[in-house]
Amino acid sequence: MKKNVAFLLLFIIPLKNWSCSWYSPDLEYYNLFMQEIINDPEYYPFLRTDESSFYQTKNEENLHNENIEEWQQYLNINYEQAHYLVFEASRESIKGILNGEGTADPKLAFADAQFIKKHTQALRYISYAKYLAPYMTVVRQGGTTYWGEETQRHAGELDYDHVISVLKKSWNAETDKELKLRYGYQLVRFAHYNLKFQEALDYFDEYVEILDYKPVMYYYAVDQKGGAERALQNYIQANQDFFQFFIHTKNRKQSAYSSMRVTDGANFEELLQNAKTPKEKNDIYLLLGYNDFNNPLSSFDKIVAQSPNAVQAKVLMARAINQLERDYFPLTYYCPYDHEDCAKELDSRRLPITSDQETVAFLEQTLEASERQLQNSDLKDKDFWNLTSAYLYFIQKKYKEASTYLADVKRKSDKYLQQKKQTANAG
Amino acid sequence: MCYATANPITNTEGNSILELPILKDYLGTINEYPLPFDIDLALYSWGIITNHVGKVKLINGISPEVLTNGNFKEIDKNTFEVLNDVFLHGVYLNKGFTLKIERISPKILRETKTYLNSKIDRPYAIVYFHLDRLFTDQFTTNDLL
Repeated sequence: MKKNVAFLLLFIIPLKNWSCSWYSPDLEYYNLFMQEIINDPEYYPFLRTDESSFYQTKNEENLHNENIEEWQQYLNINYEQAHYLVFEASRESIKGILNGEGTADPKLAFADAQFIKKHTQALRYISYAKYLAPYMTVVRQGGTTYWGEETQRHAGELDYDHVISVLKKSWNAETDKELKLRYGYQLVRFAHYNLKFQEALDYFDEYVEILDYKPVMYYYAVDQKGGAERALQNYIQANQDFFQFFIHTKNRKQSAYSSMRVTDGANFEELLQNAKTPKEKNDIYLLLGYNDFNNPLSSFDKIVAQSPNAVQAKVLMARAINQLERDYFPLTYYCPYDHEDCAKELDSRRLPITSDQETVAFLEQTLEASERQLQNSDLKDKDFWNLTSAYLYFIQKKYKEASTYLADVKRKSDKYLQQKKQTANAG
Repeated sequence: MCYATANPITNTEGNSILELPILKDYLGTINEYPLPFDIDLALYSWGIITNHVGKVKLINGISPEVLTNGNFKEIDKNTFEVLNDVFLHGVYLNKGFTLKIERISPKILRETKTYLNSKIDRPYAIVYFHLDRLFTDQFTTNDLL
């Protein structure tokens, strides 16, 4: 996706102007700083990219599906077995197991007699969820969904009253909170997708909130409730719901943030006033810093003042450094139309280089923030901040200071070692 | 449309909403225009925010009166420095950003109307943009007639 380089000398190529051509902003600079050393895939989407709304990477290691993890724990099976059972096994196979007919599917061999006896109710839920799943998109209005996308199937194709009746009866018959919660979630989602927004809110109160049980599936129901609140123009409550989903989901933060953005522009002032926990405040400041007009270091300061080890601070530092890379490591250096010979005034054409005073000031501010972190006695992951400080000296061609910080990087993780090597080689 | 006489993003001096000398340049041959027309005048104000790396964006409906809460310091005529991270009309501003206010004052409006009255040799109506109390409260009825 980006241009990674690990060789020694990079020189600018001065150009006077752009010609008309395909343009990819993430390929217009040398990327030597790996933002992914924040080492938390949950927050990778909020690293910096100028090509799409969210940063994308193939390195989503260890980011398991949170729904499957809950099933894994509930059913006491391994992740792969839970994933297969929920996402891949056919409904017919599960019905065969429930009816005592067995199944020819060898990947369901873990479902032995003891498993079936213990988890009959869960298998019944999964079977019904598989029946509903293909229809779980919003009903069409005028041929499209209410946000305009074409779909193959939608919730309106099912008998609304019948499905609601089945879900209510199942909820009432169930004694297990986990399964009750999932039936409650299905009720809220099904009503929401059928545009029965007030019913969705009522079902949330009657079948979800009442359980006082809040694993991540509870917040999936809150997300559905938020959609109904937004449709009813209760924008402040909708934003609160989407934000609660944001802070509790690890797989769908992009979706939650997108919902906030389209809900009356996301009222962060209101969210900040209502934030209670450090985690809530850190995530709000992260999203404020994620707005690329804002200075990420302003949010950074707020976060580290209360949580020096917060991953959100690392995300904002990585974003600030990536911004600087784009300014200091351009593939081509171009002069403004009224100053065509600007490159001739440079003392050296060897990258990194910039002549913009605002960029220099931002670099100084970023370095000061990074070094200040290293002075914090409560800091745990000093290596991250040694790497960022080293890189920020390297950008200034201050190789001695950069080497000093690099020498303090002790952790042997692959990413840290690669970043350490990359900075050392480039300098 | 007798406003938006300059680009607010690139115009660092003057008032990009309306500068009467620029308007006079535009309207030098207005009486040769072959069709009937009315005149559209602006009443709005906005803030032009410049961030930490020189990027610029606009916030609508900002007047100097809302900048009196200690979070802003006037560093030039109609130009303020943001002293603390603060929300302004829902927009998050960071310490160090600058904010330039541009507005149509009753004086500019009167001068513009006087000029138009003397310049244009045919009947015309005036249309104001836009009629929010936030803006209209700054003018008397006579200003707007």
